[in-house]
Amino acid sequence: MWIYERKLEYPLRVSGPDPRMASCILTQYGGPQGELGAALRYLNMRYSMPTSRAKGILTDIGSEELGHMEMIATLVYKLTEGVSAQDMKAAGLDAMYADHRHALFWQNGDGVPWVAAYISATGDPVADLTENMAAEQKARAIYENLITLTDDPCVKDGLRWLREREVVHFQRFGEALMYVEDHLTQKQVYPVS
Amino acid sequence: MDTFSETFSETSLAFAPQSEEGRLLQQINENQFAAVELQLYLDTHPEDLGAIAMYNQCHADLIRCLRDYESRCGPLLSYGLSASPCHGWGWLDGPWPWETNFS
Repeated sequence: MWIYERKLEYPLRVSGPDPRMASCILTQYGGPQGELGAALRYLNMRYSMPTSRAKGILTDIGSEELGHMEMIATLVYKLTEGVSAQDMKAAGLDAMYADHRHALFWQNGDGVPWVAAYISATGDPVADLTENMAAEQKARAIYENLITLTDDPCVKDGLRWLREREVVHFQRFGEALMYVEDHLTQKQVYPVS
Repeated sequence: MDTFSETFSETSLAFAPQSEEGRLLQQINENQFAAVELQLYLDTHPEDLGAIAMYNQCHADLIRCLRDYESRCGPLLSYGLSASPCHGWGWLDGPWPWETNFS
């Protein structure tokens, strides 16, 4: 069960429309390292985790990622709000406008749609938690690329905040992995025939 | 401050909300952020009693801020966790999160 909270996790503003930057940020909505993939990756892994700590951290970080997905959607929405078809075209977004007008879609800035193959679930808790740590680092790198691409201090502020969350999540997944490895070592059974 | 910090980790814009609604929302955001951080920390450090005490304090402060906000601005939580004003379905009133301009 999830409860919707009618607010963003962190307030977002933009200085003005910037459709080109919106299309860059869209990768964190429906791109390979995006927040949709993160939320689905973590929430889906809960069912094959051996410890309550791992189930807890996946539940809570997965839920937080849903909130980050909403923040990314908000940035894209605000950066394209009221932008005319001509201005979208001038920013190189005419093909995107043709398919979606001002609607958001699960794709990156090049129009590559989100696919489930972006996420992984091997059923091996060590492999899966290690995958999550890599995912957080990749998302951090994407946020740094995006921060480099914009001069808007308001957009930078929101992206910096999201980047920081990737750092914290990486840390927590690392701790969860350590406890899972301890757990698996302790439970090892040597059958005697 | 090194270049990395200046580029990626500079502290957030010193943004002081002007409206009462904005001020109340900021209090909620601050308490909830602390609660989220403590929750993730406690998931991997469940034996830290000091952090549990801090979490419970955040919870109490957050609920108080939330109800202050709701009494003035309308319901914030879905599925029965917030009451609606009696005279109208308050869930639909006011801008949605992606439409809010924080001022």
